[in-house]
Amino acid sequence: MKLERISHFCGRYSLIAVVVICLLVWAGSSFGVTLQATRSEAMGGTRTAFPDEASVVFLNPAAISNIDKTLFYSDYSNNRIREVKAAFVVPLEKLGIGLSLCSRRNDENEAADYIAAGVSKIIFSGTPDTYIEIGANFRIERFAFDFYSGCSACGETRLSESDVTGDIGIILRPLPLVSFRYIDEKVRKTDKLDYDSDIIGEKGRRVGATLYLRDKLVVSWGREYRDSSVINHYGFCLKTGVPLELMAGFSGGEISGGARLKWGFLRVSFAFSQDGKEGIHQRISFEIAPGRFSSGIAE
Amino acid sequence: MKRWAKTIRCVLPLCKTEISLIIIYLFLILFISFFSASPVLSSDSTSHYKWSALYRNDVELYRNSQPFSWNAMLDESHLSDEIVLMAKGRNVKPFNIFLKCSTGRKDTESVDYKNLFYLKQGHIGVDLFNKKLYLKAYLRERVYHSSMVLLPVVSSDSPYLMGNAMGMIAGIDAGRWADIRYTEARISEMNPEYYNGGLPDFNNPGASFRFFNANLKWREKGRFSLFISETQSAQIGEAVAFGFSGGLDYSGIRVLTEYTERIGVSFLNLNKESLSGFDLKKFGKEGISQIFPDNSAFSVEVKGARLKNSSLGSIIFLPGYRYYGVDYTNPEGEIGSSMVESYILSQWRHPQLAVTFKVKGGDIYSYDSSEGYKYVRNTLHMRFKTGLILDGGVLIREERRSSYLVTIEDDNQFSRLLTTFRVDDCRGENKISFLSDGWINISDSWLLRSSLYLFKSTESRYSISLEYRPSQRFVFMASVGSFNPSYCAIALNQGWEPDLAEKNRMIYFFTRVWLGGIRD
Repeated sequence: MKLERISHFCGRYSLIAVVVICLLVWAGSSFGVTLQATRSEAMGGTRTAFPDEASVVFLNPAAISNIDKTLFYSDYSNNRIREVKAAFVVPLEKLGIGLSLCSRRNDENEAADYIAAGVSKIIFSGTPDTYIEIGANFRIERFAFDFYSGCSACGETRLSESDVTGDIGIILRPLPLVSFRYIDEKVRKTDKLDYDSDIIGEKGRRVGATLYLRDKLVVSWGREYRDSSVINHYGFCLKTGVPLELMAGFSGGEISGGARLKWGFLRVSFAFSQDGKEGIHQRISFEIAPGRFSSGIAE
Repeated sequence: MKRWAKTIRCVLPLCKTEISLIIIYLFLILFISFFSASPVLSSDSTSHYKWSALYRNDVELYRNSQPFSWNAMLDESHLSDEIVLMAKGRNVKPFNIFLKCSTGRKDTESVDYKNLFYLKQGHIGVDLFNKKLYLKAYLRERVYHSSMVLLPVVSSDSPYLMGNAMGMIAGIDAGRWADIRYTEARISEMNPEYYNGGLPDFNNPGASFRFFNANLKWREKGRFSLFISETQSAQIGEAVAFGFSGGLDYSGIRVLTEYTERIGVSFLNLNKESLSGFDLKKFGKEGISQIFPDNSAFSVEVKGARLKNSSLGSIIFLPGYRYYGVDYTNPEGEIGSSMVESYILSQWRHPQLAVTFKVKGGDIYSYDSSEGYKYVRNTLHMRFKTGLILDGGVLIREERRSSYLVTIEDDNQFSRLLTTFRVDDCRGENKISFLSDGWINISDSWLLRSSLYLFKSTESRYSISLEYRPSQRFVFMASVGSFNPSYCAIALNQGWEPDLAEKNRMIYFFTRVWLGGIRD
C-alpha cells in the first residue's frame, strides 16, 4: 500500500523530478569515473543498455524506465584496477528508479568510490517498441590517495576529496528495429585535484545506435568523445538456442568478448577485453531477479 | 598445328619404352577423332558434352593504416582476373575428356603472365570393360579424394598428381579381388603453366616419378597393398621408395599397418643389399622404434575395438603407433619431422543424447629437437536440439604449457556464429585467444559476415564482409579487415598453439560469374 502511494506520487511528479535531477547533474563537477558493465564491455564498450539488467543505472540512465521488474546486478573486475559494483533498480508506475554503488582501487593505493541514484521516464510512446525516454543519475564520488608532503618524519598522509556529478541519457527509438542514444557523462578531472590517476576518468559524451534483428541479435555502434580522443566501438550480442548469450566487440583496434548464462532467476556473465599490450581485462557479474527475466532486447 | 607438332617432337624422344609410345599415339588418335566427330559444344542436358565459363575478379587494396600503429604497410593494390573455359565429355563411352583453359591478368611485373591463354588443367581418358581397365593422360590433375590410409604416398598416389604434374595413370580394377595402378608423373619447374601455352612441357622437367601400386583384397576381410616408386630429380637425385600397406578384419576389429623405406638409388641399381628391413635384434628397452631403419616410416592402427551397452552407450578404442626415421623423406623429396609417437584414442557416445567425449593420450618423441613428452587431449562435443554445438577441450602436455578450449557454434537459418575461446598457459601466465566468426542473412541474397580475433591477449584482428549471392552463378563480396579468419580457425581449434595472422589491413573485392554445367 505504501509502495503504491510512493509510486503514485513519483508518477505524478516524475517528469519534474527527472528534469530537476538533470539540472543538478549539469551543475555538478566531478573527477568522475567511466563505468562499464559486463555485457557492455564484451560488446566492445558500446555501453548498450539492456532492459533486463540493472547496470543501466550507470551505463545509460535513460533506459531505467524500460525495466519492468526489480533487478539486482553486481560485478567484479581485477586487473590494474580492482573494481566492485552493485546496482539495484525498482520499477514504479510511471517512473524507474535505480541505485548503484562502486568501489575502485589500484596498485598505488588510490581509491574512488561513489554512490549514485538514477531516474528516467518515457516522455513519448508511440506504437509498440517506439518511444523517447530521458534519464539521469546523480552521484556522489570520493577520491582518496596517499600524499607525500616531503617531510620524511611525517610520512605519507591519506587525503580524500568528494564531489557531485552524474550522467544524462536520451534514447530515441523511432522504429522497433533501431534505436539511437546520447549520453553526456559529466565527468572531468577535478579542479581540486591536480593528480594524474588511471582510476579517474575524463569528461565525455557518447552517441550510438543499436539494431535489433529478429529478437535474436543486437548489433550496436557507439562513438565516444573524450577530451583527448574519439573512439568508435562496435559490438553484437547473440541469443543462442539455449539459455546462453554470446557477445563480441571491437574498439580502438582491440577485441573483446564474453558470454552470459541464464539459470532460473540467476544470470552469470563473463567478459574480457584486450588491455593494450598489458594483457587482458576480465570482468564477471551476476544478476538476480524475482520471477522470470524479460526477453532481453537492448534499450 | 605447328605448336602441336613441336610438342609431339619434344615428347617422342623422351618416351623410354615402346609401350609409352603406343599409349601416346593412342591418345592422340582418340583426341583428334573425339573432336572431329563432335558437334558444336552444347550444355544441353541430353547432349554428350558439358561446358562451363567462369569469370573471376579479385581486387585487393592494402591500405596504410594510420589509426593502427602496428601496420606500417604502404598503400598498394593488386588486381587479378581470370576467364576460365571448361569442357567435359560425358556419356561418350568409353572416353572421357576434360579441358580447362584460362586467361586473365595478374598484377605482377612479369609480362609473360598477362593475358595469356593457356591450358590450365585437362585429361583424356578411356574406360574399358565397365571401368575395369582405365587409362588416363593428365595435366595438373585435380585430386578430389586421396586414398591415404596412414602414411602419405604409401597408399595413395595423390602427391604425384597435384601441383604442376603431368603424366599418365593406367590401372586394372579386378573388382573385389585386386586392383593394379601405375602412375607416371613429371613435374615441371617454376610456373610452366604460363609458358608453352600451358601444354605439357617435357623439355624442362624438374622431376619425374613412377609409382606402381598393387592391391589384393580378400572378401572385404583383408587387404594387402604393395607399392614401389622411383624418383628422378635434379634437386634430390635418384631414389626408390618401396613399402607395403595391410589391413585385416577379425570380429569387427581391423588392424591397419603401413611401412615404407626410401633408398637413394635408381630402380635399376636396386639390389638386396640396398634394403635395410627390420632388425628385430635391436628391440630393447628403448622401445620398438629401434628395430626400424633411419630411412623408413612405419605406422599401425587398430580400429573397431569397442564396448557397447544399451544404457551407457558405446566406447570406442583406437590405439596407434607412428614412426618417422631421421633420414626418411617422402619420395617426392619432402622432409618430414622425424618422430615416434604412440597413442590411444577413446571415444564415448551417449546412446540418446548427442554427446561425444574423446580422450587421446600419447607419448611423442621428436628426433629433430631431441625432446619428448606425454600428452592428453580431451574433447567434449555436445549438440543441442536448437542447433547449438558446444565443444570443450583440454590439452595437457608433460612439463609444457597446457591449453583449454571452448567452442560454441550457433547455427540457424537466420545466422551462424562460431565462437572459440582458448586459454594457453605460457610460463605461468594465462594467454587468452578468442575468435568470433559469424554471419547473418540480411535478406535472401545478402549476407553480412564479421570476424574478430584476439591472439594471446595482445594482438587483435578484425574482418567484415558483405556478400551478394542471388544464385549459385553469381557471387560478389566486399571485405574490409586486417586478417583472413579461415587461416586462424584451424590452428586455434586443433593446433598445439594458436596462429597469428599477418598484419594486413586491406579492402578486398571478389566477383565470380559462372555459366554452364561444370562446377569448378
